[in-house]
Amino acid sequence: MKPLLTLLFLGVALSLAVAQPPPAAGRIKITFADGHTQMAAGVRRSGNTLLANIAIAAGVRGETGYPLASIRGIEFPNESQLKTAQAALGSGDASKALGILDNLVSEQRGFRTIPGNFWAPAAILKADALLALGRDKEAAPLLEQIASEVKDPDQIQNVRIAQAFLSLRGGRPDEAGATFDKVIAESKRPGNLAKAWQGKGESLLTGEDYDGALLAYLRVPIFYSNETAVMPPSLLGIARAYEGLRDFDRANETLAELVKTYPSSPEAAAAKAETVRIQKKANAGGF
Amino acid sequence: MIFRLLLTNPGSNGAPWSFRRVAAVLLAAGLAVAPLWAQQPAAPTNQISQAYLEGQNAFNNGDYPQAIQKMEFVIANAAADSPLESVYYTLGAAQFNVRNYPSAIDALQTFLSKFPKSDKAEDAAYFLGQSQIQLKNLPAAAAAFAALESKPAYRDRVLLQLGTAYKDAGDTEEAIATLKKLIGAGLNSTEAANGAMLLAGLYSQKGEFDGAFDLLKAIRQNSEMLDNVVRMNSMAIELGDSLLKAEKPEQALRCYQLVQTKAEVIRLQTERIATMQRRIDENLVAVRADPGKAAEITSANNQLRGVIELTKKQLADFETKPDFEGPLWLRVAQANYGIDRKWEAAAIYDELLRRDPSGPEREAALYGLVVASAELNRGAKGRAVAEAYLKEFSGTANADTAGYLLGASALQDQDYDAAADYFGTSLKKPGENDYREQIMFLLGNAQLSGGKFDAAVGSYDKYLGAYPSGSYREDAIYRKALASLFAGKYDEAAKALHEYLKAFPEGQYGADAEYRLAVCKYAASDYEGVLADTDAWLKKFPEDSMLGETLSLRGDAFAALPGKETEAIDAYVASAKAAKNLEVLNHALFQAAQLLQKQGDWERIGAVFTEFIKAHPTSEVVVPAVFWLGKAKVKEGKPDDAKKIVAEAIQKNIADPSQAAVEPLITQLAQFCGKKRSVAAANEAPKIDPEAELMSLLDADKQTAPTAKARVLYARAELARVRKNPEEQGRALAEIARFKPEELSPGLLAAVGDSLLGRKDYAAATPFFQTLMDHYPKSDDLDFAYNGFGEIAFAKGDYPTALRYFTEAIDKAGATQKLKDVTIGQAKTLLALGRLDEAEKLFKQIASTREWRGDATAYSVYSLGEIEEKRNKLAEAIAYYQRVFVAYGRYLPWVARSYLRSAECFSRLGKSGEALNTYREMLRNEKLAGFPEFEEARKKVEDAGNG
Repeated sequence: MKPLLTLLFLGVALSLAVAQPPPAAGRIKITFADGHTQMAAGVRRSGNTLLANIAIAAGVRGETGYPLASIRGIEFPNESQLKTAQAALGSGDASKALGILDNLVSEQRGFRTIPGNFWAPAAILKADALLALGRDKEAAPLLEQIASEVKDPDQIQNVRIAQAFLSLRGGRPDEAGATFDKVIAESKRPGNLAKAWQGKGESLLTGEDYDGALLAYLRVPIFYSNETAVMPPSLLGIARAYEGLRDFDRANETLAELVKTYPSSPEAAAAKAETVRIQKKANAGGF
Repeated sequence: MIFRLLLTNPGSNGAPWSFRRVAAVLLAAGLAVAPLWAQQPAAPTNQISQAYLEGQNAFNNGDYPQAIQKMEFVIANAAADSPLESVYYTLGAAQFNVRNYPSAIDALQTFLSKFPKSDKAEDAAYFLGQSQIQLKNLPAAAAAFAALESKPAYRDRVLLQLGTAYKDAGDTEEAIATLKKLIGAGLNSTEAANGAMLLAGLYSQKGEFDGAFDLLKAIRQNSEMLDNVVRMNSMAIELGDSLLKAEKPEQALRCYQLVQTKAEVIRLQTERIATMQRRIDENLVAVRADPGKAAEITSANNQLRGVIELTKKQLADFETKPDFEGPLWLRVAQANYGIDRKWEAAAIYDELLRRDPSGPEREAALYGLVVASAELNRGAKGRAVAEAYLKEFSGTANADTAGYLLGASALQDQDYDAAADYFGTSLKKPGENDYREQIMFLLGNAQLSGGKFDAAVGSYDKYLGAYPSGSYREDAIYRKALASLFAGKYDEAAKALHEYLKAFPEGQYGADAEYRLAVCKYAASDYEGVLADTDAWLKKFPEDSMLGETLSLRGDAFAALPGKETEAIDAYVASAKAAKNLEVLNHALFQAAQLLQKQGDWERIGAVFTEFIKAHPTSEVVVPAVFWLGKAKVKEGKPDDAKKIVAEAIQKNIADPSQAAVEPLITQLAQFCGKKRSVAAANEAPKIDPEAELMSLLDADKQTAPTAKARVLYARAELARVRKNPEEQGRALAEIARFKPEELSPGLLAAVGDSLLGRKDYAAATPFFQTLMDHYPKSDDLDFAYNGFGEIAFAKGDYPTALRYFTEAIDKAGATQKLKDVTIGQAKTLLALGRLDEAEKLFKQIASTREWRGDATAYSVYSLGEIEEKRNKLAEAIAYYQRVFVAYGRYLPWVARSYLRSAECFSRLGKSGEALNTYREMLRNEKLAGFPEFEEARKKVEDAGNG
């Protein structure tokens, strides 16, 4: 592969990068359409060109440009950070997740048309983190953007689910419920199904359909218990549904399970307060 | 079984190895070369060598009889001291392969005795043991295997084979001991994992489910060691089923949770195939590095290929088998149901129906959901499921149960009419019904509870006719008597009660029946009879739970007799002390209070209620008791004591919205504070601002809880009402409307909702009424919500909904406070629906109800005019309209409308003069000047003048 642009020495390349999105760095593997590969210490995009920081000679590095059309794919070394962010979100540390995802999303944004990029999953996760932090106003446009760009059915469903949660919070439980139903009917992916059932539970709980909410929430621990990020809100929902059905014993039992199994989740903190409240309600006798 | 290889493990299911490789090994070791035969052989040496080589070739070609013949020739002809190591070994192997186990044993034993240090001695011992197993000589097999148990290459294999043999022979204990020894070193080989499966099966057979479960759990954790995961799944399901059958659902559930999903099994088996393929590839690389290992590695690879083929076949079979997850989830649901996780069971059934609505599990899942829903009291949703089941599966074995549960669920939901319908429908179906007896009895119960007393009597009679010795005979006879009693047919009831007492002199309802007989006498005004009967009752059943009722009835009888008020009071007070239910307590306590009030004995009223509050500090009746106590204190001239007592009772529960009785006390306190003092008292006492006093008594400044703050506002509203200041009252109620509905008590929800309804702010009123209905379905204020929703629906023109709410306000909520409003609501909705006869009946009823006299009467008379007008009976309509402005002139809106309607009726009758007079008469009434009808009348008069 012939470099498109004249070789630039690193110092020049850095100065050019100032106004660009942050470059991806690390041991990046670029695979070209003809099958050959090139390792790069960093890549960034400039128009239809990928600028790669590669070894030019012994001890000398410079930036080389390749037309995007010539690239089959890029393997980024930091994709594992997605899992770290996901784990942080699952354990209730949405701020930590957002810290990681902010960088990943803005870094990957420039490469989002190149195979191997992980902008879409990172952006979806970022939207989830924003929702978890109650920053709905920031999540909404990001979700709109993702929805307009992704084509993968699973990712589309993920976006739909997040948007349905926004509808739910916006006081439109019926609209949200319809989306959750659609995902439940169409999806085969346990992660999406778990989220959709939790969301359906939430929308029914909002409408005080405790029976329906309980049956929806229970799907998560029964059928999707491996989806640990969805478990704490589902258990909290189950407890609230039991409370609505005036089964205070099972409500408290579920809250205890939530606190024991997911002690560091934000729902566990809520569960402790709920337990006291429900206990008081259960003990309330005659005048 | 044919021996093939010894180098690698061909299978690990307890099957013996092939002996075919023996020859190859012998050749590789140089043993196949003709041995140095004895100095003086019986046959020529070349013949012996020739026979030996032919025998080896025959063996290698699978011609075992030929191999046997040749090796026996060699043995027979070689000299006694000839080195026949490979000959005996090959002979033993060939005999084994033709299943001539006794001969194989002879040859191998000779081999082992002659060549104990041969490098084939372990193999020989292994095949010897196997031959013994084939002959079912297990002690000999164990002896042959004994030395191999310490050899890692043989240990797991021989223990598995021996364990399997003991199991097959029915020696469970030996099998268990052997297999326990096998897995003692851990599940780190396929043989150990398979042995663990076998052992789990044996534990299960013995009923040692815990042991079996622990093993399956360990196998599940090492499932990569299994050569067939499907088998483990089957065993986990079988064990779970056994546990479920043994009514151990919790353990069964744990077993079912060990089952791997179809996707997991396919993934594991595919990975296993890939691993074996990788090993083949690695072996090929090893051969290139060391060609000397070619024979050994080629054999190993052939063996691996065989296992891959087998695994692929198993996988292909498995993939074509129907999905086992549906039946498994049914079992999981059943186990959840068994451990009282009925919601979980319902969720599973529901999900199965969603995932595969027409699948083979549909009937079982739908039925499971019917049963779970009935247990969970899912109300209408549960009944919908049962109805769906009966629609689809009416001919199945479970249909009777579903039908029975459908009715029973409705009965439990107190939807008695629906229950009676369901039971009635079930009974009409032809054919046998397992629940016929129960259904016949429950039909009577549904009718009795639903107030269909005559029908209930009929149903109980039918039941008793069909099942004269039925399980519910006593209940049916007794309930039949109750039905007559509740229907007011006291003679019939008394007769039936006597019948009951005669049939069941020691029956469970004896005390109740005798009490009810006294009730019949009371109904017949036989008060002396009541007193005699209750006197006898008290002696006969002094400890019975009906004591309170009986004393109360005695009180009622005394109260009905002249001059017996004191006795009545004593009986009521005793009843209140003995009462087991709130209804009796309320009746007795407040009847006593009323009689005491009549006697002016406020001191005793105070004493009775003080004693009661002390004895029952948490009773629901404490609040009304405090109310009476407060009243008594005021009457005793101790208003400050009264205020203090009431305020203290309020303070105790001011922050708890579920304590509905706080509001009546607030009202009372507001009355105490707002009441004008006598001139003398006002002159004596320092001037007190009623609102300041009320706020001080309630510690208003210290209240922080939303409910408490709202109640303070309610106190202001009530004080304003007492002081006839509707604007201030409205302001305070409007402020309460800013609270979240869930922060308000039923009384506040009702008051705020009603206030918003009065302002026609329906959107704002809705959440308050909804919360009242959802959170406090048993509240005395519930009729406010029904009335509110009825009015909202009426305003929207949704008359069917409005009529439903107004009717339910009476039927479901009892309309304790809103009876007038909801009756008007019903009447006006019927009128709007054009159901004139029904509307007329209700409006007449309203107009004739003395207690409702006022605006409601004017409205009703006006509406009766409207009804006649709609019937085109204009003269009758005019009469009603005229009655309004003649008799109910205070109710100006109706007067204004009536004038106008009356004039219009005259016009329609062609009586324009009368019409004009009516308009003029209206215009003379200055009070009507602000009404739009007034302007209309003026225009009519002007038009007439111009004309």
